[in-house]
Amino acid sequence: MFIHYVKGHQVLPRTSKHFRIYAQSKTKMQRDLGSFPLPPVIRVKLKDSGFSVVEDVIEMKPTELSREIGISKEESLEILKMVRESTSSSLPCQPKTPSNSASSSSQRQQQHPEGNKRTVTALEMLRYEKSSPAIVTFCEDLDEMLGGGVPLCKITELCGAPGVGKTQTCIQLAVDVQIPQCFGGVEGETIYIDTEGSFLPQRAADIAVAMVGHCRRIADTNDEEQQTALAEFSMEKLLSGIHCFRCHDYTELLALVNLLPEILDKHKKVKLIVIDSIAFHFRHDFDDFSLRTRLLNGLAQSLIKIASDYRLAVVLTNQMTTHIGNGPSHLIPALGESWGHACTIRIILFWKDNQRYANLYKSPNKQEMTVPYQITMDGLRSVPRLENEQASTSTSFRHDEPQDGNEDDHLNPCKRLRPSENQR
Amino acid sequence: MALRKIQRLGIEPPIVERLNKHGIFTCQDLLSKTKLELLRMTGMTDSRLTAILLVASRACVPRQTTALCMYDRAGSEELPAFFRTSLTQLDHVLHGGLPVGTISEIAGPPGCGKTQFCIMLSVLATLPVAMGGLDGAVAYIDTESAFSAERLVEVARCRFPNHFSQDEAFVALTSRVHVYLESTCRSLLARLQNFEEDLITKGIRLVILDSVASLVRKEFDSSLQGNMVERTNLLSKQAAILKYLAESFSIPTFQNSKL
Repeated sequence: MFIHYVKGHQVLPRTSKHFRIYAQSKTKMQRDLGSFPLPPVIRVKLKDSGFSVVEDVIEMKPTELSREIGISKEESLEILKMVRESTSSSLPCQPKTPSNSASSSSQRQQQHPEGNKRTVTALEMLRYEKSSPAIVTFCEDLDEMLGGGVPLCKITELCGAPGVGKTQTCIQLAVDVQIPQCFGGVEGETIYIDTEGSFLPQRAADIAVAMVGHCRRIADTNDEEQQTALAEFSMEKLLSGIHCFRCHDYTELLALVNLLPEILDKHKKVKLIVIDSIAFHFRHDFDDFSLRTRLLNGLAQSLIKIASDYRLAVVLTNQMTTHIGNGPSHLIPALGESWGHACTIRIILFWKDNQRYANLYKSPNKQEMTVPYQITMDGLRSVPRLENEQASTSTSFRHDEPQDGNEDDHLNPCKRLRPSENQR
Repeated sequence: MALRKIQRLGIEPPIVERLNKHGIFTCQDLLSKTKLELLRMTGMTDSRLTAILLVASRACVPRQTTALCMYDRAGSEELPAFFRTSLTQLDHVLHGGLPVGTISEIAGPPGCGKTQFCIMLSVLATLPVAMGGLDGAVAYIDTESAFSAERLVEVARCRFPNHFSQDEAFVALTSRVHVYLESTCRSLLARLQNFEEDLITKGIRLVILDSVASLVRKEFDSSLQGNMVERTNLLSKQAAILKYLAESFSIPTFQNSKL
């Protein structure tokens, strides 16, 4: 159908509108065949037979092409499909048609304005962002710091030293994502990818029981929807909504991320993916740092795509490593600086004076802040406020020079200078 | 799973040969390469390559389960999910005891009782389940030669006089505690790497490593910069092996560490 369209344009009078479209399609036709992902053998064969641009092959039939350059019919059909798809998707009046990867994931993509390849205005995105809920953490200060909770369609990273509460936060989120919509929750399921073996179902059961109790207490007895939701709400139901995978090395993690689209198509209710922790398998026994960076970047790209295509939140846990620079050594998130670009939101958890704090280190829309939190038997909760304790805004930390007076500054990661400001 | 050879995936032999020529033998090698590199190496088309990568991924992907299944399984097995240490307050704080299937660590200054703790756990592990034990053998990896069999017997006799009233009970206890003496980092690592057979043949239900720090401190000088990296690598390798063993065999692993 497309070929006739192009052919039709070639005879139409060149009004300004048609001229624009014709000019665009013309450049697409002149695209070099070498820029397509073809195996080198086929590339050489195409070149030798004189096919150098898209225009040369676009009108051929598969059998003709295969005979001319000496490849199989299946391979020539592949080439033609790829070439036609690239030319048809660039015309502004035709929406992108999901062709060879016609799985149900493409249907899910088209529900989302960003999954479809047409452009969106900022106004549409604003409406969209305002309407999408966030996953509450049950710690009011933390929720306020994040603007409602952990947002969907973004990657959030939790960094911290061992024992500060990363896994506990992850389990809390895995339970919180299942809060029904009538209570203001997201009502989705979780995929929990455990690389360290720190997920204990008994702890998840504790947190689930506490959450069910909380919902029962705040439910409005007159609200029918809430009552029906509560009737089925139980610890067992919450635990059955957490799908767990235990990865023993980085290959299993890579394989799992490759298969996530399939898994998400099977479990359409998933709204949260937790990877606890992403650093573990990449830190020990990995000699080749360039391979590590490459694999991590690939993982980050896949996760970003999945987060936006499927409209879910991705929460990653990272470890801390010691940075020995000019000044006293301090803790920084592990996996290097290039990994720092992978996450949209980065939260650093640390201890100070026997109290746990969370610092919003990186966020696209919220101010940098540090809030205290605590881990109780029931899970993550906020610290009850006394008169002299308040959530502090730490904008002063960034611009100050390191103060010699405080010895424990180097333990507090939000008081350090950013790596780019360090003189190496 | 990751070291599964690609020959066994059911891909056509000519493609397997082409991959082998470029040094790709296992699923790990295959999944670590980018798509472009693989296109160049194999000469396959894009969709065919995607299909093969999915096949390899399916072969490596871990099993899916739900938290509910894990919870039910932990509760229903004959052996409990937590190994009680017999110190009631500690057990209460630990939500039942040392969790089975993970590593627990005890740390403290010299002389505070870490090795005594380990000896007591060894006695407890050999007791029948009804008495709070694990009814199995104990693997005691001793790097400091601090284990004393006499002390083991003394603890058993004083703590459970009714159970250990006859000689047979003592013989049963002592024949179930297997002590491995390791004096170098390398021999410790080698021991851990080949541990699975012993765990199966001897019916071991508790692994104690006393201590994790002593060998490393002896052999790695922490003031030298390069040593830190190697030391950390070695420790993480050990930890990874212990974690894997703990999970596969559902046994608690207990390690001693110095301050």
